[in-house]
Amino acid sequence: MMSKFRITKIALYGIMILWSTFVLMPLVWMVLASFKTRREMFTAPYDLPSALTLDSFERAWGVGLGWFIANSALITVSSVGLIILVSGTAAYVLARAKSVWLRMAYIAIVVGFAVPVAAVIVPLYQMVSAAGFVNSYVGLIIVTSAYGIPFTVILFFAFFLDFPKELEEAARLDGCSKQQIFFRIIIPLSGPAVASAAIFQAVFVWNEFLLALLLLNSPGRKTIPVGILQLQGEFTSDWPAIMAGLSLATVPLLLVFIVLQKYFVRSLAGLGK
Amino acid sequence: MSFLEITNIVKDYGAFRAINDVSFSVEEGEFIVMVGPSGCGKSTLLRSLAGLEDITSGSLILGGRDITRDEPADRGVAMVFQNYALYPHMTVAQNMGFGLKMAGQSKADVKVAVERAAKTLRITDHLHKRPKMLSGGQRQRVAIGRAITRSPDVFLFDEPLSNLDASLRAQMRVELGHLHAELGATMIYVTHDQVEAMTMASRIIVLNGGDIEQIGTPLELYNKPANRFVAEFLGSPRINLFDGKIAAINAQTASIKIDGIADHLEISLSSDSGPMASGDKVTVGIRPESINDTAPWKIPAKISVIESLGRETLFYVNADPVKTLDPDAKDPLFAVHKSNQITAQIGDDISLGIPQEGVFLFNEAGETVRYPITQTAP
Repeated sequence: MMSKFRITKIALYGIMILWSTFVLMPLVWMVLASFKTRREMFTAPYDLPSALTLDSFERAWGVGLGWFIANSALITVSSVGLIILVSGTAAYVLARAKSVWLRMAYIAIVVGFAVPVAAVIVPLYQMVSAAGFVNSYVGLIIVTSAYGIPFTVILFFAFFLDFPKELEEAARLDGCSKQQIFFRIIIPLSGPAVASAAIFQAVFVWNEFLLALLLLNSPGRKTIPVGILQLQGEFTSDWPAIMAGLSLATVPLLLVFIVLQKYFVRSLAGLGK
Repeated sequence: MSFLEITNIVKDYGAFRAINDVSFSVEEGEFIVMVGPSGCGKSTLLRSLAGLEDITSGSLILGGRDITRDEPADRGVAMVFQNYALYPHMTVAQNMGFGLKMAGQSKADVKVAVERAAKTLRITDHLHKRPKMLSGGQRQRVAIGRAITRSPDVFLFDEPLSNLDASLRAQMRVELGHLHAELGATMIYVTHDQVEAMTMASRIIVLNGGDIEQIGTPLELYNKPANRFVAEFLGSPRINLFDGKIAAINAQTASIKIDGIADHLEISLSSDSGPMASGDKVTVGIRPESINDTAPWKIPAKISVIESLGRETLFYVNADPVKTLDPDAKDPLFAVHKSNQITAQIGDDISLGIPQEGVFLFNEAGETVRYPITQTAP
């Protein structure tokens, strides 16, 4: 007779396999579809591709996918860097603050996290436009960072609250200023928190569509999600090329995740520790 | 003027006064131990000396220099923390040299200082390791090494041994004593462990509720505690206390009535005895090791607990109707210390001989009004 423990284990594995299949199916379909011909796409949508042809990748690359990836990479790296720098310093000050006003500032930031992008998009566009930042990388980087900062502040805040105070005190006795404590002691020991923040924000910025569509409109500046939309416009029926483009767009993020996932999982398991 | 002058220190946290107008001075090379129960202000006082807490008022003068408002690093103090506080991302050598590096010393100078400190503490083999790879005792050595490297005027220790196990603690106690002798440095040490205080201190400061109860050498405090609090705090097992009333008194003797005992306890008085009058309520104190079999005045009792420690034996005895005054104890038992092995059974009758020479008397305010007559060994 099987033990109760074993049955539970099998049931849990079963649920996990079902769920994973459910999540991965569309992705597998996307990759397979990118190898199909335009005809096959509609005649045999669920079959394996008849031949492993890279034609659709070439067509996708041909409309400037390389540029889109480069644009996305530039914006993602800059935004994530800015988000981590601003959130880290802000969260440190807030976590160590004793003043009521700074506590309220923290609450205001938490509230900011709850504001949906779409709700403020019109005034936001007017502001960016008035500042002359439409169609500039800097404009998009500032705006996406502003959206990413509240969540990251919350994440770092929790981490810094638990950060051993003695280390900071030892550093003060060793002659560190507040800035030196932050950059020489706290940041080097915040690997898991920084990795989690980096992964969360990289995924958000990389896939961000609405702001990029609105703020970057010259063809050479588009990011991947917006660029692929253009691919759909020019080759209305070229679904394999779109799938190929999307598959390529997934690769950089997958690499980031693989590199950082050890910290990411640890950070989630320890709630920011 | 003393090496370190601490004058009228007050530290308030909102309405709560953690340190209440504390003053004392420390001579160069002294090993000062601050003891007291949790929340007595000893750690706050130490942290105020380090500059980690801003004091509300008062002044700190170190070597003739006013350091009251100086940054921690500019005070000439180094601190060893209870949980070591080593930087996990640096090697032992980097940990020890970090202070000097921040002070802008050259790499070569830092290296020399680190190696010298490592040699003193016998951790040269570990210099390239991260703190994670070290045992608790080694980590504490590194933490001490970090302090030594900076060659401070005053070393501050905040319960540095309390995370170590008993045998390591005993070993480190001896090592710290050696280190103090070797460096000739001024050390201020906070602990709640009275054994550490008694064994290491040149002078002990007993704190209670933000006030200094008494300052003195370990034996002064043990033999001549200023009050009941100090008498209770030092000594393990704790001093036995019970209620009494002065039945008769003159310049030379006092006769004390103890409820439940027919004979009065007669004690001699001397010039250092405090004011007492007939009818005063007093608390009688007797150290566990002072109780013997030969004293004429006895309290009958029954053995409740026996602790045979090999070279010594501790009895806890029930002397009903005489109750000991110990707010923490469930049963008001007397502690008796014998410095040899004794065969006895739980439930055996025993007579507690209370020699009058060993008796402390405390008045109702808790002040000591009669000290035991101490015989110091030649």
